[in-house]
Amino acid sequence: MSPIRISWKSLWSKPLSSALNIMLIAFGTGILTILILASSQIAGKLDNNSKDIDLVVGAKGSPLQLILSSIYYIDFPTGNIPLKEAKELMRSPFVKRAVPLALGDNYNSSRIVGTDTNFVALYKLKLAQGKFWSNDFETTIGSSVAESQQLKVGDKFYGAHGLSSSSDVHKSHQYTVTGIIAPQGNVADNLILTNVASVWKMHDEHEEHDDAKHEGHHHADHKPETDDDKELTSILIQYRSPMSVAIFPRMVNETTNMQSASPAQESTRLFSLIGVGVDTLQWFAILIMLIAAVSVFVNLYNSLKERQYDLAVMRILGASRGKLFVIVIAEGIMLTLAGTVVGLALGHFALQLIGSYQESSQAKLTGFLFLNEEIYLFVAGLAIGIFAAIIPAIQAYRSDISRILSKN
Amino acid sequence: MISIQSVSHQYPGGKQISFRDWQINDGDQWLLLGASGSGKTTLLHILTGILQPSKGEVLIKDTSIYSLTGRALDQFRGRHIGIIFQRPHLIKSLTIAENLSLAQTFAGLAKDDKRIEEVLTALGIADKKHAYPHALSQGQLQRVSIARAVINKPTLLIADEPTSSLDDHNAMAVLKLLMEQSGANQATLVVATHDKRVKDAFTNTYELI
Repeated sequence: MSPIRISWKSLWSKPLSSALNIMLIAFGTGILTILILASSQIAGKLDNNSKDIDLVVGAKGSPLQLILSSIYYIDFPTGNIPLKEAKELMRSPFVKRAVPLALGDNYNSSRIVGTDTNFVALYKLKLAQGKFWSNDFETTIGSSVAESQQLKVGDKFYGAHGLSSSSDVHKSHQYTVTGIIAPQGNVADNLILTNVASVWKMHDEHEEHDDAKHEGHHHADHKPETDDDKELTSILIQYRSPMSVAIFPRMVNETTNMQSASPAQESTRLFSLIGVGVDTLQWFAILIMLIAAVSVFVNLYNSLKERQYDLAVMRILGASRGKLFVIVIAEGIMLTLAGTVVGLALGHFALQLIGSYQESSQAKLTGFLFLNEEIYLFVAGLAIGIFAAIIPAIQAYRSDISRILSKN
Repeated sequence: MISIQSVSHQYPGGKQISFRDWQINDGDQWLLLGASGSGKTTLLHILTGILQPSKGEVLIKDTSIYSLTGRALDQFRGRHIGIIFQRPHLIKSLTIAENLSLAQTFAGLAKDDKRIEEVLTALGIADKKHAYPHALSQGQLQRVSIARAVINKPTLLIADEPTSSLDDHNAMAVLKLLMEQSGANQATLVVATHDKRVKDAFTNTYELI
């Protein structure tokens, strides 16, 4: 009969209060696990999607909205920019690479992006099947799109107007899938790529049919007879040298009718907004852990009063003071460690569940990610166990058995 | 052989109590008689090594037990002294067999299932081996506490008021068991009580006044 086994059986003899303590610890640990996993995944996704993009140029409006729509594809674009002005910027000596984007249509909520081969180079896209688009109305689709829409190379589909609704379908032209991109782990997995001209032509025909419906919608095109009339949604820019940071954004904002936004700056701003919520939750979880620690302490302290006779009898049977100390402290540690393990499992499971209910697949979270930070949670669980059990354990160690036994 | 020599104890309040020297030969059966408040429990605690007397010496098997310290004294007690309390005081979260094996391992001995079986059989409760204490009757629990006291074949078997809460019939039955078991395990028996009913069963009496 080792002391550990005695503690173990003692916990099992009062399942309800043990379960309550484990639940409290598990709840606190679970929330912290979710926070750690989710914020690391979100930060990772933000970085991954914007890592090679130095600047985004688009129509004037909210810079955060411009970044959200042109890099993460989650908000509406700020408007359109004239192709002529965009081309001037793209030729600027400060720019190493410029990727034009023409947004405005979707297929079952997957955004159709009109762009050119610079997009492929920027995101270092690799094909899983088929080839990249070359002619009008040919598309190359991301791996998640292929999976969720069940599209294969050679399949045809109609795009719909807007960024998510499929009510206003462009029946005049049909897109063809010519290739599927290998999974990238970034936003490209959820896009349908085609050339800019296809997006223009789609709306060219469309507008002749029903002009009235377009009020209030932003479009990457309007009456595209010449370059002068054509429009883009935004441009993604890679600088030629670090020097450009100081000059280029100011130049765009001051000399043109467009605005520039830095993904790094806007992401930081976005994260600092979310950060307040994350901080609050974190303190909430820590508070729960503290309450759990007090609860474990009260549980052990009360049971110690009930058990002082048991412990005295153990001493009579030959157990040393040290053994009693180990028995009591082991109970505390077992409770909190069990709670920590359950909490970690719960956190992973909950995040996986959240991920599976998430509609937008671009920010999908997964529970199958294990981080080194979780070891700290484990250590914290251990520390809480020791913290909660140390006073009862010392009392068990110091108890005067002669006095306890003669009280009877 | 067990002896106490010029033992006295000072209570926290300052009151002092001295005990006559006492020599107990191996295999003897003694009655320790005294009214409550006469220092009976104090003497028993001194004899079992859980209360250090302010003066004097306690020898068990030629060992002066208070010259042992901490762990060594705890183990000596577990190995050589068996104690039966007025109430059984078993560990509620452990089965009967586990309670007995607890006594073995705490004393620093190996777990011995055969010995557990043997003792339980001798006391007629072998079928309760895997039961938990709450499933047993008071009489059965008293037997288990006797079994726990003799499991390590102690030199000294001490019973503290084993009969005072029992009716005449059960008191005699428990006394008989104690005498049988101390004989079967070659243990010296000391029964401390104020219960006059058990007086006639003993020839040796140490009376506290």
